[in-house]
Order: sequence, then C-alpha cells, then structure tokens
Amino acid sequence: MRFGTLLKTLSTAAVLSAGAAATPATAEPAGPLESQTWSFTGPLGYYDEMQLQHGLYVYQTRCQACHSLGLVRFASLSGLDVSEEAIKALASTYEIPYINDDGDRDTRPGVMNDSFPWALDNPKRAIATYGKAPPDLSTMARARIGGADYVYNLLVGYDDAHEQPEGAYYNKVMKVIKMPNPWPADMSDFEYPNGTRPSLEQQARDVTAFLNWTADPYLEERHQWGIIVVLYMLALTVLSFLAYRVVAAKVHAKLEVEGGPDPEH
Amino acid sequence: MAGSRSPFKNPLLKGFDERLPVLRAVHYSMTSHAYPKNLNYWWNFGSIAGIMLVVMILTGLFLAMHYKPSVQEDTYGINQAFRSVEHIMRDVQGGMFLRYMHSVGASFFFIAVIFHMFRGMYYGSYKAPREVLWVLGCVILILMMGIAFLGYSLVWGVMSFAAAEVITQVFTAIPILGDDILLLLRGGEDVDDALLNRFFALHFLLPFVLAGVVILHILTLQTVGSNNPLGIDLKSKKDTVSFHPYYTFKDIFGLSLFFTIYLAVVAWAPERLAEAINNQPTDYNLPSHIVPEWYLLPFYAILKVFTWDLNIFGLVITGKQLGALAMAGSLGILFLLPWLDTSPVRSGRFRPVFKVFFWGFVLCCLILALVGAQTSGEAFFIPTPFGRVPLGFEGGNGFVWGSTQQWGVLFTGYYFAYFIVILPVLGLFEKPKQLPASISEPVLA
Repeated sequence: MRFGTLLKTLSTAAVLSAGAAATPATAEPAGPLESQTWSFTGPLGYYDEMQLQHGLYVYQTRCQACHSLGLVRFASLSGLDVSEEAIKALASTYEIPYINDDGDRDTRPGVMNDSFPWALDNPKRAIATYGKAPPDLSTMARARIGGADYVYNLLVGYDDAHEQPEGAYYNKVMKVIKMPNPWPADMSDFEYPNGTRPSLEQQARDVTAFLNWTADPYLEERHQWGIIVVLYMLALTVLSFLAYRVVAAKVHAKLEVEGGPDPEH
Repeated sequence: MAGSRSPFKNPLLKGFDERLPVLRAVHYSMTSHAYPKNLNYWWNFGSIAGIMLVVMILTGLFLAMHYKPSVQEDTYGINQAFRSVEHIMRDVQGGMFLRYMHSVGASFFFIAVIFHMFRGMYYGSYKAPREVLWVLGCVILILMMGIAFLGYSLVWGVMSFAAAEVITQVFTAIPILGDDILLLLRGGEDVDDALLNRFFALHFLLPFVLAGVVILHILTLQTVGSNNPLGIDLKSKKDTVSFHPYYTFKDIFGLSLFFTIYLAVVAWAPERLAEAINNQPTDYNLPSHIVPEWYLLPFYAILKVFTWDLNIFGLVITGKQLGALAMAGSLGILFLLPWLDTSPVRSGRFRPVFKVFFWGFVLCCLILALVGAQTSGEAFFIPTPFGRVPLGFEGGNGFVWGSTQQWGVLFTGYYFAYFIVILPVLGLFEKPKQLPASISEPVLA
C-alpha cells in the first residue's frame, strides 16, 4: 500500500480474507510503451479480419493452454469472417467440462454457444503450479492503461538474459512477471494456415489485434454509429443556433415595445 | 397559478386541464414567469444536468433489466455481476450503447453539475433569497456522488471491489457507531454478495429520490427566480423575458452542443474517463494504486492526505478519522456557503478581489483532483500533453520535497480557507464596483 497508514489498516482484512497473496494487480506499465499503429484506432478504425484470424491462430497455439476467453462464444467468431461450418468444427475440438446424466464429471465437445474454455483443471491448481491463476483474457486489452499497446509491448517484452527469482520472468512492461515467455526459441517451422511464416513481432501484433477484438468486438459498429450520430448532432447544433438567433431577435424586438413578464407577478 | 383560467383552446386539453390543472401550471411557468433577459451561456448547464438525469434513469432502467447482482464465480473466475455487464455489451441489442451512454453519461452529468455549481459560486447565486435553492443543490451533489459510487461498485471489477472496500471502511472512523454502520452497509463482515445486492437496490432507488430533490430545486427556483450575471434584482418589465420561447431555444442549442461532445466520447473514447483495470473482474485483492472516478478525486484527496494522529489534550483523533472528518467537512461546508459569504454584492463581476480568490478556488479543485489521482509519498507533477511538469523532487534520505501529500495538505488548506476565512473577511473589506441600477440600464445608457 502506497498511501500510508489509512489504507494499510483498511486493506489488511481484505487481503487476508482473499487468501491468496498473489501479485497485486496493477494497470500501469512499468516503463514507457512503444506505441504501435493499429487498424482499429482513430475515428474510422476497423478490424482487419485476416489479421484477427491469424491472431486467433496464435492464441490457440501460444495462449490457450493457460488462458481462457470466458466471455467469447464460439458463435461470435462469425465476426472474424469465419464460416458457420468452420466455427462448429473448431468448437467441437474443445472439451467442455459438464456433469453427465449419471451425475459424474465428464467432458463433451464444444458447441456454438460455449466459450473458449479453461485448459487447466482449476484456479487453485494453477496457483500451486504457477504462483498465480492465469487471468481470463476476454477483456484484457481494455483492462490495462495503454490497451493494445500494453498487450503488444508485454508480449514482445521478454528478456531471458535477466536474472530472476525462481518461477518469475523478466519483462520490460512488468519487471517481475509470473507468466512464462510464450515464444519458443525456434519458431522457424511455425506458419499460419495460409502458409505465411510470421515473425515473432507479427504474431504478437496479430494476437494483440485479436485480443482487442475479444475485448471490444463491436468497435466498428460504434465508430459507424458515432459518425452518423455526431454529424446529426452537429447539424442539429447549427440549426438550433440559427433558430435561437431568430427567436432572440423577435423576443428582443417585442421587449423594446411591451417588455417581458412582470417581475412582481 | 391554480386560480388562473385554463389557457388552452383545444377542448380536450382544456377539459383535462380544468379537471387537473397541471398543464396550466407548466404553461404559465413557461410563458408568464419572469426570467432575467441577460442570462449567459453558463446558465445552460442547469437544464443540461436535468436532461442528463433523465438519460441516466432511462439507460439505467434498461441496464437493470439485464444486470445480475451476484458475486458467484464461474469456472473462468468471472463473477456473475461482471459477466452480466459484459453480456449487456456483447449480447443485448444496443446494449453496448446503453452501457456506454450510462457510464460516460455519469461523467457528463457531473461535468454539467460542476459547471452549474461554479457558475452559482461566481455569480453569487447562493445568496439571499436563494439559500434554500443552493442547499438543495448541495443535497443533489451528495446524492449524485453516492449514487455514482454505488453504480461503480456494481460492475464488480478490480476497482469496484476496492472502492466498496475502502469507502465502506471510511465509516468506521465514526466513534462508537462506526462498526455497526459498516455492518449495515455491507450486510456482513466482508465485501460480498450482501453488499452487492443492497448496493444494486440503493443504486436503483436513490436516483428517484434525486429526481424528487431536483423537482424541489426547480420549484424553489420558480419561487425565488433566477439570479443573473449582474447579480441584481429584476426591477421592471424591461428586465424580463418569459422562459418560452427565448430560453427553450437557447437551451436546445446548448443541449445539442453538449450532446454532440457527449455522444462523440461514447463512440470513440468510452473508456477514456474510466479506470482501465475495472474491466477485469475482481479477484478480491486491492490493486496497488486505488483511485476513484475522476469526479470524486478532489474529495478523495482530502480524505487521504491526513495520515497523522491529532492529540488534543489527551483526546486522540486518528489520521483516518481526521481524513473522514475533513472529507465530510469539505462537503458539509458547501451547505453553509450562503451564510459564510458576507458580501452584499452577488455577482463576481463587481468584486475585483473575490474574482482572484474564486479562480484560485477553481485551480485548488483541479490540483486536489490531481492529488487524488497520484501517489501520496511521491513527487507531485502536473500532467500535460507534452509530458509531466514536476512540482516536487527527491531530497536526501528519501525525503520528498513537494510530495503529492504536501501539495494536498496545502490545497486542502486553501479549500477550507476559501469558505471559512476568505469569503467572510472579503465581504467586510472588499470595495465592490458600482452596480448598474437595473438589467436594462446598460442597454439604455
């Protein structure tokens, strides 16, 4: 706690009741972020569907072993311009835990309405293994100062040359991080489904774009809505100003002759 | 107006109005009630704030139809409350717009009210006969702050939990009753399901209480009449206009401009005014840097700058109690403003010395907002588009000259001095400029 005795007393109870002495969450990067150009920033920002598909592939390859996307239904992948058959096929490759009719714990193939599942058994196992439960990534690109830039800088910010305590890694964005470096040393064999061979930076960019989409899937809709609404409001503002001027002139002319309401009234 | 005759010609309207004279009350207040003719654009913010309340209640109503106040976590570690907010954003038709209009709307409601209040402070709108009007306004501000805090908690993100935890703890500063009040607010020992559910219930109820106080605020205004930029009373029919059509049209223009900016923020920067980390469901750990929403920052600064205990002849007031007392005082003192300002002149236009101290007060609130957002023990800085302007530096032995806390104490001092020392004393010594005889006089001369 950084602001003194007040919060020190206040927070102790909460931290204790929470049980886990995990690294406190912080939204602020440790150093300056290298800002990137994204297709989705700016008033006309949009998503590049091909990039999102590549990002999805990177997520499946590098992230989903630990991180879920609990708010992203398979069905919503239609927003990435993926066909319904392809989505159904993809969903069925996931094993969704459920309790079967005999009352036993079991798994079944995923369907359209399921979300990207958690691959690890349970949060406690994860804490025991990694010291921290890997957070769900659905809203992560919205949950850090810097947004997509934060995610990208974190992903490319690993430096294994730095000494770190057991179970921790060095990252330019978060100096001591529990998340292991997601990139294998040799990625020369890695290629996208369309045959291209992306660099590490390219993969990081694509998966960042994908995670920005999972956090803010209706960004394009909002931008288009914004343009229509703001143009309408600007027109209304100009018209209402002109109307006000006309009314004001009439009211003042009338005022000169007969005055307004009686203040004693 | 109840004794007056129905102004309507349409037989249906006339018939209805003769049985329930509500329409004529509105009609006469719009057409025959005297308003000063010289109100400037700062007077637009009252009606803007009123419309924002309507926007908040309507968007909030539809959000409440989909929101689930439950802390129960699913296998993803996402609680049901947080999930239902995301469900609104992702699955509900138009839900993203409703949600962002509501969360950004809270900020813009506060923007309107802040301008409205500073306008009242500059032009002396709180002075006789408008004391009750001002006091009701203060009640509205405090209700708004409470409602905003309750609503912020409902998301049940990282900062929602921190806010609920820290703010409910503030009440334990109250001697003897504190722990019971804490229990009552939380519905248990911990910040948990019981708290979330009562916060939801209160967040739904209190806006209607607020609307009731707003109606009283408007009724009081109708009784005592509007102040104006000259701060002088209405003298004759030459000074007045009816609300309609002059101010209806002026308000529609102001409202359009305000909504253009508001909706642009909804479309392109809906998260700009919010804390990013609250987009992550809480794991019940306090984040290392706790900040409230921007509109609560000055008061939060006053709460947190007091960290030392005060010993008055053996009666110990802890730092926590001192902070809570100061924050309550900073709001409470607003209620006393009409009686603390001793100057008979209302408008700041005719008070050359007051003007300086008034803008100092505006600056003071801005600095306190920065103090609220920054870390107490570290060097204070002013953020600008070109980088940080430092107002403090590390001395030897780890001591920081010009720390956030030191600036906070200084400006907390100014905040209170403005009400307790400056305004009472200034009224006795300041020589105001010559007041015009009437509103229409400058035009005639």
